[in-house]
Amino acid sequence: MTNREKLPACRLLPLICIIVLSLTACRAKELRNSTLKKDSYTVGVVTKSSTSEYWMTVQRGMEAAAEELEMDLIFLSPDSETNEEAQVKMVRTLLKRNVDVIAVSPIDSYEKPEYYDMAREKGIPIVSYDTGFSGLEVPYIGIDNEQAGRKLAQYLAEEMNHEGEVGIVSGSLKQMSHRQRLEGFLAYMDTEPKIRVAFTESGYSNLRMTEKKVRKIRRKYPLVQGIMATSAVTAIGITESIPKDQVKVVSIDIQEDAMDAVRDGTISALIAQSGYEIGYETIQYIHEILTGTVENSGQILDAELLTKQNIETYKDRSPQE
Amino acid sequence: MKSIRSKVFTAILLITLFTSLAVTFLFYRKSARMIEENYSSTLHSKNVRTVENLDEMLRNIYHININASCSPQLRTNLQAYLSHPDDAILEHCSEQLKIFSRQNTSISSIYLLIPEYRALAASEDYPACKKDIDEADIKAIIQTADKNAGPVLLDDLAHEDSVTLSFVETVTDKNQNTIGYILSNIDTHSLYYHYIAGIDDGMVKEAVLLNRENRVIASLEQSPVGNLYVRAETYQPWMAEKERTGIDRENLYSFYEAPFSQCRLFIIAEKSAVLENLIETRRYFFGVLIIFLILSLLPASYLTNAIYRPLGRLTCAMHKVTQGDLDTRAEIVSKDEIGILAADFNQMLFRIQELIHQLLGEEKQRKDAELEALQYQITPHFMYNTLNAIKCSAILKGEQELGQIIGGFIELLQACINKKGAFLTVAEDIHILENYIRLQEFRYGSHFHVQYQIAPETRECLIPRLVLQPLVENALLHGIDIKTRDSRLVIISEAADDILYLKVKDNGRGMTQEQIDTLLNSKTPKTKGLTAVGIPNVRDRLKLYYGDRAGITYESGKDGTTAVICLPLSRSEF
Repeated sequence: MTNREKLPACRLLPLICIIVLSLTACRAKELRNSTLKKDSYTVGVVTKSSTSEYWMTVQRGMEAAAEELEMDLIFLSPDSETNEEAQVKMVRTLLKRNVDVIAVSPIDSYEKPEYYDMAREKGIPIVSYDTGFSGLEVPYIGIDNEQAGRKLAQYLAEEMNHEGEVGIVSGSLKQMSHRQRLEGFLAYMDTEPKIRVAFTESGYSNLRMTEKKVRKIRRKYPLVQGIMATSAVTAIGITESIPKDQVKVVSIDIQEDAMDAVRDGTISALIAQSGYEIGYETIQYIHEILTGTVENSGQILDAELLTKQNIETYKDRSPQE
Repeated sequence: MKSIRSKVFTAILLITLFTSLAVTFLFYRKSARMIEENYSSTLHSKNVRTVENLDEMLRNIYHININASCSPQLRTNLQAYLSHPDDAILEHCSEQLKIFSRQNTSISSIYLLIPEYRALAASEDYPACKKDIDEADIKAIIQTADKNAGPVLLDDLAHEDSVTLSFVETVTDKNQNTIGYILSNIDTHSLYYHYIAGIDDGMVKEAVLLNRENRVIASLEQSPVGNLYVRAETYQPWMAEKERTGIDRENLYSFYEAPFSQCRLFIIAEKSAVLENLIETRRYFFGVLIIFLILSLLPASYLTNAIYRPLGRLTCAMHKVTQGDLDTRAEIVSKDEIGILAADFNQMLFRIQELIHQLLGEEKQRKDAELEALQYQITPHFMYNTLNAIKCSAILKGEQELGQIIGGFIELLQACINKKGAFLTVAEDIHILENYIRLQEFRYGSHFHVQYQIAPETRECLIPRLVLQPLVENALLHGIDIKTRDSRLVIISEAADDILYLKVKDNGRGMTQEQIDTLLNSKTPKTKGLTAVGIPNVRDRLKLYYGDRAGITYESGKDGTTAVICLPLSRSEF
């Protein structure tokens, strides 16, 4: 009799087990906690300005690299390339913010900034990009600007059959990049005995020369056949005021309007300084610093000379361009 | 749980209940999780959006603050004030600050703080400037500004009991000496209304905007601004890293830290509020479940009844049979296994009844036979003794021949009645046969020529008792003509190939095939001869003992009949 009574209970046991198991299985994953973003390296980036297309492509290149390497970026930009004080204050803010690395493109390359020692004290590495520091041990990521100036000078000389007058419209000479371009250009022109550098105007980094000023220069130096502008923005400003057949304008920087100008011939040659690539490589380099795999102090990027003939084959690393 | 019906019923009920409960439960879990996750991701994206908007706004104000601190006009005015502290200059500054203040609507005010004179110029209309600011307040501001990069929580210098989120930047002269501070202030109330109040959708329990030190900037619960967030430790696991979402037993959490300002927004939503609709649906489901369960009892009851009815009838029929009513028959209602069972049961009952009838008949016959046997029972000893006495008396009276005949008769009787041993040797059987023939000679007063041709090797062979006698009797009755003088019988026993042949030959008138068949197959017991057994009896016995290996045949012609028995040669009993 007892055997009979026990049997149903024994048979029910697996059933009960299944029920209990199924209930507990549903309860098991009660707590869910997911970190979407971990604490990662933060890089403070200070640009020279926020307005030009060039700087926007720099920012995009940096963001692309930062996303790949899972780093955070803080972008701070002075309102113009002349506001050196703001740039210094921004670097100081980033130092106070205790970012891991600061990348700066100095408005003034020649004066040792006060934040340099602060950063050393705090142990925060500083990296320069696009424009380097003169006389400071700060890694530089960007193109060889002197080489760029030489290339442009050589191109102009060849186009002018090695004789005639040229002019230079340069950016702020406080910035090493502009100064080096200028120096490279002048150095090459020294080797061309029949070419005379008629004028050197400076202080126009990423700024347009007014039409009035251009006309004034034209009047003053009517024989000038070639002009080198150290930034594309300035170059475009000049081309708008001068008929394209009269003066050959050469410049630096990749940006859409400048490329278009090369295509239709208003700008004769352009050194392909890709903002995207500089930005991208800068963050890559910073990552190497942070992970301790850095091998050299800075990185010199290739810069191709673009003319109407080869511009169609040029491919920027930026996905849009 | 006694009847099959209740078991099946319970099983149906259990299966239904378990399945529907499991489905409901799993569906609920799945839906709950989906809703939780959807809500959690919505909440988090709301959090991220809010914080990013805030961060963008703060970044913008930071830039404005930087620009204001670098403004050459302001610097010039400040330097002028430092050399000649004149209120008019402060008002002038105030006008300039207004220009910056208008650049972003979130800026509540911009102050130019001049620590040297404990004075400030403000972008507001009232007060446009303020003097005699508490030294300690100024010190506190300078210290915070030195330490912190992003927005800091400060007590408003111009307004009492008000806390602002401010950016502080130094104004320096040409020699990089700090001569003043620019403070861009954001009203924390406006932050609450612009960023926090909109988060509350009825399910959010807590939303708190903190600075990087976990001090409250704005919160849904209106906790005091500037204080440390009291529950920071409780919710510590949910506030780690830069971005985190989570769900625990009671709440859903979302945490996001702004990349630039490092302001953190922490939102907690109540799970029960999020799942309110679902919980209602769950209640509804359970209600429906119970109703359908009750409704399903009807078909379940019908179904079990349908299964149980034939079984119940069969059980009932079996019970009656057990009680002794063999005439009961189970009703066959269905064609399923139970129907087959019922049919078999009926068949079985029928067979049992048949067997019982047969048994009863046999029993009756047996009783009759026993009665008959009792009626005819005579003590054989009395018979032998009497016959022996007669034999002795005959010998004493000189009737030697009569005595011998009586002695042979006694022997014959003994052989017939003796029940011991079913087998005899050929010699013994021949001896009985001799006695029988002598008695027959005496009886008919005639003499037959009986010739015995017994092969010596067959003498000791075993044969069933009294197989030869019926053959001889038959030959005497039907074969030979006793009245003729040269009636002759030949009894032969010979062996060949392990088979024993026993032959009885006569030279009588012979038999037709018909007569032979009748002889072999007649079933009626003889009444005339010595024993009540006839040829069929011999045949049957041979068949019983030896099966197909033995048999009896008749050959008949003009010069007589020969009966042949053939049987396996054996010298020992089976």
